[in-house]
Amino acid sequence: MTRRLGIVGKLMLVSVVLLVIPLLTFRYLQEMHDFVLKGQQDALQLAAQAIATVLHGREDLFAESGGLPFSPFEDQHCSPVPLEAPIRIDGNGRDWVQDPEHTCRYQRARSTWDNTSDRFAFDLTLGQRDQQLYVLFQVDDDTLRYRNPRNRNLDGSDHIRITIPGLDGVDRRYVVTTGEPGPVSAYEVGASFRYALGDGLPVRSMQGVWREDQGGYTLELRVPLAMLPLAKIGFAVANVVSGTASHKSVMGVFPSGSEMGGSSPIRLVLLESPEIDRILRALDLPGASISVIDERRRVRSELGNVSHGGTDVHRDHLIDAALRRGVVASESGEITTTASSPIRAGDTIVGAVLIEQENEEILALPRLALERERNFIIMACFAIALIFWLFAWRVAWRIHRLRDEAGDAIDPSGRVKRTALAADACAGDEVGDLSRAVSGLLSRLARYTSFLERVPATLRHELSNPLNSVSMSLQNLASERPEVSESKYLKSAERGVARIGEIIESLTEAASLEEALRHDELESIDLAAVVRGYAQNFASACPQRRIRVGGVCEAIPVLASGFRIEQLLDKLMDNAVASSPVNSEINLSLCYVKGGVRLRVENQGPLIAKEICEQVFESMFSTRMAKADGHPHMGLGLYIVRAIVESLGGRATVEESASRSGPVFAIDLPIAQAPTMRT
Amino acid sequence: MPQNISLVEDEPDQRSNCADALRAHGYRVNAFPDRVEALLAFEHSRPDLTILDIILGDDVNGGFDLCRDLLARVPDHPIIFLTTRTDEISQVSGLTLGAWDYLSKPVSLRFLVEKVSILLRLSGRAARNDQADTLRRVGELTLDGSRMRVRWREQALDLTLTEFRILEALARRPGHVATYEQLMESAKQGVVTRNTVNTHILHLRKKFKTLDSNFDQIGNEYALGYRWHDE
Repeated sequence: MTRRLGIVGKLMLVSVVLLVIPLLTFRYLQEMHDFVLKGQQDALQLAAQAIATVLHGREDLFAESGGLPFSPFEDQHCSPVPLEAPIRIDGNGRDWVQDPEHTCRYQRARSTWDNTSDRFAFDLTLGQRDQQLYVLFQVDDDTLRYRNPRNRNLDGSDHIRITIPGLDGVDRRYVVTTGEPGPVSAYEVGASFRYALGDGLPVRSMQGVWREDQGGYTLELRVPLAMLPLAKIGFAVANVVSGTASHKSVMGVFPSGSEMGGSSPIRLVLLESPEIDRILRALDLPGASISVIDERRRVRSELGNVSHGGTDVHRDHLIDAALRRGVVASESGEITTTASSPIRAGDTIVGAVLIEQENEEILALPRLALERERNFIIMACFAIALIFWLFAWRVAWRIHRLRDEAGDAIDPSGRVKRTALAADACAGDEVGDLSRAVSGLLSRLARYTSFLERVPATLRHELSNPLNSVSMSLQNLASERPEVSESKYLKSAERGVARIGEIIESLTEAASLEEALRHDELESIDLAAVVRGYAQNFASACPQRRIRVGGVCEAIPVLASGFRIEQLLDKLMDNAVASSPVNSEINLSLCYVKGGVRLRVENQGPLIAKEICEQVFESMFSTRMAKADGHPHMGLGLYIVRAIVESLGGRATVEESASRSGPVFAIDLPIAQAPTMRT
Repeated sequence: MPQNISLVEDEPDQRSNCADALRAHGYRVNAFPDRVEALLAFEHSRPDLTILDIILGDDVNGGFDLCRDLLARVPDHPIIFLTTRTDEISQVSGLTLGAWDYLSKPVSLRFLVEKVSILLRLSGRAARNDQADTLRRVGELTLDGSRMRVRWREQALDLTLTEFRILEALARRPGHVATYEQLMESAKQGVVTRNTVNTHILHLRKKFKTLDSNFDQIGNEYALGYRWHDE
């Protein structure tokens, strides 16, 4: 039989519902995540609006001349990249992060360069770290010219020109040149970029290294930001292709003034828009980066450092929203939340404020909270599951105990052994109710059983007296009226009385048997001898059946009372004779079985159906009708057999086997250890 | 002079039937329905024999109590129980109290009358201290048929009438089987089963064994009956 799911299993299955708790927590966190991001967006929008309000109407800050130079590279955004690692000034550009975004390439327009057919172009990369501006020139130049140190003029060789606007409106100019590859010297020069000012010594605070390489040179330069009062610096690369030490050189300066519309020979690179920067610093927003972008989408000022990985789409989208549509907008990405607000001047939009803030910190709050509570939640789930399990186990155990006790309360023959169950008798719950109900059931059953058991005795008592009256009356009638004493009616009445007497007798025999068995004195007798003697005598008394005895021949000591064994054999043989055909064989055999001896009585009558094998030993169970000879059949014979066998500590069964020719009744009795025996 | 018999039986039909049968055989019968009346009458005139039912009305042990009362007054008074209580416990109790015999209903009136006459004869002889004959010896067993006395190895054995009859039937042909049927017949009871015979044999063996622990003369012949082993 496959065992179905017990209470414990079912409850454990039900407790899977507990998994909803982590699920709910997860959903709650999700909600919280969205809520927090929404809050973040709102906050950033407000901040962006506030900054935009501060910058409102300050179109001067955005004017081209208003301190915000333009990039020499019209279509390229060139701004210093924040450097994570220090740059080694050695003329080797490999320690730079070569980011196309921060590298501006200049290529000469051929039409403006007619002196030579030399190839010329350069890449400019700017970096910023520790209050230093790092500049990397990677110049493609086929003809390298180095300065002759004996010459006073500085423009006779390939050099870099630097212009730094001052606070007083006067520009300071520098030339960076060298006589050979290696460290370079920077000199402050006049407007002609030819002769050094003052004592003609190099500026020590500006350092660089020149290094020749394939098809050109690389120059690394470091300029302290302190030298840039307006955070502006202009660069030009001068390429000298011919000329002598004393004479004017043939020289190209890039980008040339004509390329820039002749407005200025110097190209300034925007570092920061200092005015806006000052305003932004006052609005410092921890953990956020604030960018001010002009209408041409150039970053005018940037404060804070946020890695905006993956949010470029958001940025562009938001800048669009601010610049084109003039609305305040915000978006959240995986890593950052960004908000933008337009900056207005009158009716026009002059720029946008873009605030980016990493979500990490704010999203970490619920996550950290969950992590803090995670162990507790897991423990709580386990604890609840454990409590469920314990509870279910306890209930199941109680029910098991009740079941066992209820099962034991009635013995295999259906007799009630006890009427009150101890298990959970005092429990106030349903199991207790069940226990009490079973107890009640048992006591009612016990009353009924005892009533049934009393029935034969009561019946006998109640029947005997009237029967005795009838019997005596008949006898008196016969002696008083001799003429009727031979009447067939009187005879038949006497036979009827005798038959009722027999019935009552057999009822009483069974009814008082158990009581009588308790008073039997047992002795060790030889079962083999008893069975043999019995069979022999029975064979002579009953010639209609062939009796055979087989099995063990040696003495088998059994603790019993001889006439009880005889009574038992009587009942078994009566049953065998009654159910088997005339002249058939009845086999008696003895064999040893585990812990005792088995007496088997086999007849050739009809097999006993498997379903009633247990029942045949029950009181008043009979499949036979009254026999033809008029003796009543009460179905008590095998009941008496079982009662005797059980009183001797044995067991009576019907052997189940389809291959047999007839039913086999088996009596198992324990073997006695006593030394002396009666036969 | 007719002998007096007291009959105590609560059921009127049986009482009158039984009394009629006994009267028909020449006895004078006084029938009582309960213990109190019977005891009162016993104070006035002592019957020669008393037949008792055990259950008297609601008094389930009325017969036993009455038996005890009567024997307390006259120890040798012959008493026969005639009852529906056939279980062994009741039988043993009745006989232990000192009753001479125990008959279960329904009873054959012929047997009852016979028992009554034997008991009266015995008690009469006992009273007269009659030293009459009919002694029979079977080995070391001596049976006094007229007085229903038994001696085993010269020791007197106190048996009930039925036990004596069964023993007599057993010892009639020593070494031969006395079948259940013969033993039942000799017990002279209305309905006797093998079980009743077995019970009597059991009691007999016990009584012999109190005299002689080595007693082993009554052997089972399973399915047939019993056999008296003559040494």
